[in-house]
Amino acid sequence: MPDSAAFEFACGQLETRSSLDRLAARGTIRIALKQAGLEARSVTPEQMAVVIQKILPSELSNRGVDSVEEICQTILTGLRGVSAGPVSETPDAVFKRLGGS
Amino acid sequence: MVALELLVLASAVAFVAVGAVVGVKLLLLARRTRGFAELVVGFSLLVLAAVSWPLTLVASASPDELVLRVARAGANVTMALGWSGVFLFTWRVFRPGPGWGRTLAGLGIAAELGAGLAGAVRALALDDAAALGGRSPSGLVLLVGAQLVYAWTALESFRYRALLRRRIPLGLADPLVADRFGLWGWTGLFAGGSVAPATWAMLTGGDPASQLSQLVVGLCGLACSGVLYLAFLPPAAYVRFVRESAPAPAAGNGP
Repeated sequence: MPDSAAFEFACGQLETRSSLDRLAARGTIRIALKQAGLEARSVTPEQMAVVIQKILPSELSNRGVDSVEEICQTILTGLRGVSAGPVSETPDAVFKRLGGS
Repeated sequence: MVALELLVLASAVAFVAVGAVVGVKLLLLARRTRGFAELVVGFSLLVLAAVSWPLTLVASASPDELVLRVARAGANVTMALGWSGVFLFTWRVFRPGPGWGRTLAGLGIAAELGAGLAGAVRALALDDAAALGGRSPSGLVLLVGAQLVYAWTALESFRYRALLRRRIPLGLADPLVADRFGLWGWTGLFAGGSVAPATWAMLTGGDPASQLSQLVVGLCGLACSGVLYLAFLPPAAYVRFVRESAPAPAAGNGP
């Protein structure tokens, strides 16, 4: 299953706007997603925005990346224009429905 | 001995009651939502709880040969249908699309349906009706398939619960839904445990009615009914407990 549009967008932006190369940028985003309990193939733009706000800044600081706040803000702004695309129903959506909640 | 038999009986009654009520609830939900997952899991629970286990009890208690044969044949077919549904549900919910999940589910369903039909034919055609409770290749395949799908279901559910628990402090998951994954995982584990003595006996030729087997079946059956109840018919106090014991999302979090 290919990675989601939100993941690809965030990786592309991070690679372009920071000193990280493609591999490091993707790895950093993957680590941030893992900390949030999310997966690259299914993460939505809304979920990615939370990760960019809450987890990515410390990950980038740990890697000695400059202008962390600016980079994260740019990715966040761009994420608003990313479509979630055709996503299959997630397990949590199914289990939420099964409980009638 | 009597206490163990009562435990097994109580466990069977609890599973029939809880499984049937949850199955009907999910089928009614499916009628409203047109959702495939609730249709499949509701059907499986209803068939396993309200048809298979009662037929198995009838088969083990009935002195009449015709009743015994028909009940065993029915139990084989309905168990195969129920466990096939669990394969289908686990694949479609946790590993949708092509890949190893689809292959595993396809093989599991084929094995279950084949073994169920073979078991039904055997129940109706075997000369010695008294030998129907013994070991058979079809019975072995049916039970090993059940063990496999229950283990798969438990692993996927616990893995997904772990993911959701990390999302809760970020405001990206509902604690009650995360808890439901855990309860569904325990349901798979305990359901597998309640079938395990029969699988073991089918593999080794041991006694499926030994005291240890009855104890395992009784305890796992009761536990299975308990977690199934909490997952799909949770009392308000339990819902409150789950929500209150979850970490609160940090301020400003959430999409």
